Amino acid sequence: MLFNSIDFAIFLPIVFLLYWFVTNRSLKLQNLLIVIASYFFYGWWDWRFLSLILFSTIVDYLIGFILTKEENQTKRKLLLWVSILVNLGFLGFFKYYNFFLDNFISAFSFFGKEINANSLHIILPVGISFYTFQTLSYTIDVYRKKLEPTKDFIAFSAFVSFFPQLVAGPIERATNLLPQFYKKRSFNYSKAVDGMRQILWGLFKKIVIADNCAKYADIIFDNSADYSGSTLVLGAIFFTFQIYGDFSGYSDIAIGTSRLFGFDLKQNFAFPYFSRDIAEFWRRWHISLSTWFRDYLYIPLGGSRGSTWLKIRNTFIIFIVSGFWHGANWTFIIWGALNAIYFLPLLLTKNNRKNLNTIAEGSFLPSLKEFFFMFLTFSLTVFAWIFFRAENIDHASQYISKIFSQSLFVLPSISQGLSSSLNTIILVFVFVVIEWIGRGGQFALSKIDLYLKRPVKWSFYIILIFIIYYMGNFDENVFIYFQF
Amino acid sequence: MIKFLKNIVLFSLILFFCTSLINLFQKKYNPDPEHFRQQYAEITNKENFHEGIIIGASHATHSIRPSILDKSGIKFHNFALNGANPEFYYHWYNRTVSKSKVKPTHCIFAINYFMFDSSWLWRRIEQDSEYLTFSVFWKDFFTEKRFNKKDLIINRFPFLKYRGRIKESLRLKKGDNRYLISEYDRGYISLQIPYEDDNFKPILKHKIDPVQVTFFTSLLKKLQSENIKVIFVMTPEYGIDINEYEKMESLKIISSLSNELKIPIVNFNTELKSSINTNIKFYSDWGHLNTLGSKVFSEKLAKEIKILTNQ
Repeated sequence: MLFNSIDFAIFLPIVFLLYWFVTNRSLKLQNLLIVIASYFFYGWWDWRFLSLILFSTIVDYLIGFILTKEENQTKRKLLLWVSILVNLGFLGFFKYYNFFLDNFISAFSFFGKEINANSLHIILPVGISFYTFQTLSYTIDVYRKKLEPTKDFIAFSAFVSFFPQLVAGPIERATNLLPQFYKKRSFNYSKAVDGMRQILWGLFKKIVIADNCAKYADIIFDNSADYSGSTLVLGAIFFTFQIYGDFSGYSDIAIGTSRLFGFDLKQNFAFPYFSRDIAEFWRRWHISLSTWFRDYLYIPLGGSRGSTWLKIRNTFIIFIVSGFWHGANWTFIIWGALNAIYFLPLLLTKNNRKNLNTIAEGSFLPSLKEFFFMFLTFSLTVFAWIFFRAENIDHASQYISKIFSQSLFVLPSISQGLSSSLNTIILVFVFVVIEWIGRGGQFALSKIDLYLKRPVKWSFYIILIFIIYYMGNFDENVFIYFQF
Repeated sequence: MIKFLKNIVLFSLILFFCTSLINLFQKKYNPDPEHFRQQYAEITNKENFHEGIIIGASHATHSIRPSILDKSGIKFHNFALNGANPEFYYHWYNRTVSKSKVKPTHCIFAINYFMFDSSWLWRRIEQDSEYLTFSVFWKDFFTEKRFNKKDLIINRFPFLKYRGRIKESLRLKKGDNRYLISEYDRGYISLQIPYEDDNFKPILKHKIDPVQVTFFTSLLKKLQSENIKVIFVMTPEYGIDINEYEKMESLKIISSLSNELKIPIVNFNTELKSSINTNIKFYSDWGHLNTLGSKVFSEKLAKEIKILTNQ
């Protein structure tokens, strides 16, 4: 079920009312309702893959349970590896099997050996990269004795399958989300209102910004040979806002929906395009994934301690693995490596934790220096997104070489379906202004209560709803991160 | 919780009120020609009985003036609609005219060589739900399984129907200035387009959709079973060689049905070809007569209808 669909608009109020009016007397019943609703939500797309979630849930629940009783370190380690192999095994098979097979065949044919093997037609189960990482975090934390394993199977199932963040995150840590399933939840008015506001803002980001930018990004990327360098830059910028609006919009809807049910999910995006360096960008972009990799991969590898060589190795590993997590394509690996290259100078000069505060804190406009670094970081990010969006490495290199040609200095050719892109450019501009004003909060509208009175606030919401309605793209476009 | 729900209800009411206002605004100002609504309003007005109905696509909407056709001795209403195909009329007839106690005596069916091509003629009943009376819409929505419910709803409310065309509504104008509403005449509407070379290059390529042929045949049989005299009329076109018509498979189908069901054909492009067919000043484009052309043609048609009905 998509958040931007009529189905979800019907599903959400029904579950909300059942949750607060029918099952509100029993925590167990509320959790059970969440499990049923989540399985229904996921099964609406393809019920067959529910078995994967159920299997993953049972395996990690049992392993967690056994881990509490087991004191033998070797056996504990073995149990941890079983969990890792089961979870990453599913992920590897569904997501990476064909990639490895194709590259294996190519490598052998390079050395003159021909291998006959057929790729499989594998459907990637939606959200597998997200819930796999979420359940893994549970087992690892139990193994590290940072978390008491749960005995409550329903609560654990609800944690694994919690529908707002099941298919595209945020990837919640068991230490944050699981305890919330044990506590009695009472309705909190301001939390619910804030949730509604975040859902509205998420829908605006997805339907108006991302899906409109997608139209033009697709045209330009799919016909890149026909466009000038300047138009290709415009295409990359459209994609930059598409992916941000799409993914952070999804996160906003997920977090907002969770708040309606009394849950607090971690912030997943903190205005990343206002970052002053790449390190700051990665502290603000897809925070739940970055911190997952930091805690479960980067730090165990030694992190930024040790020799320069180790620092370089660890940085490349974490960025390349992060790129590969996004998809089985060399373009994602290059995208990851490119970010590692951006990041390394900051790490090696110990400047990676320089910008920890919000840009232009306390003032409306940034200083010239801040603006320059923000612009530079944004440009580097836009450049890296080209690899992320391109079909393959050849496409990316052709795209980039065309950008760095004489046609970079001509005006972007707004034709071939691009004529109405001016509306989208204006919308993106307005969007950036609103995000800039609200950059100090959890999301752009989170502090609206502080400076607007109710009539003005409600008028603003109504205008926003009509902008979504009239300017939005309602082709029920799926969220980009569903494929990851 | 109660406070939250109260606020949700209050906000929804305000939103509903704003939506209703916009709906009214878009009903008044939208790009669709006003004559569609008038055509529907007249045909469904029981006090306004017509002895004859004219059905067909836009070439008939813009060609046949009912008040001139009165000279034939029969009072007609032009219910030809842009893009309407036989399937459209089959459903329309069965839902409205067929159920009425008093039925017309005559039906001019404006035929053409492209009438069985569903990509040329695309109109569906659902897209006119805005113009249906509440009872017909209600009935269609709950009882007619063949109609797409989502399309019926979307087309019923201007707020939904013209979502993608809000910019045109903001011009604070209704319709399209190519249609001269002052010339409106019992369903007829004048189409007046300034001369453009490209508009006078006839498109002869067309397909035959067997579904449309089936609906056409069924409708004709239905009309005849209800004692309605059908007359096929082919309105004049500009710049098409007479030999081209003879090659057309669709016209052969119509001709064979005419023989089989004994329906007369009044063809102003072959047997009754005249100076109208060669005088560009009568046309908006190769297939549509303009204000002047429709007057001259309707006079000629009235004479032919009079002869046929007096036989």
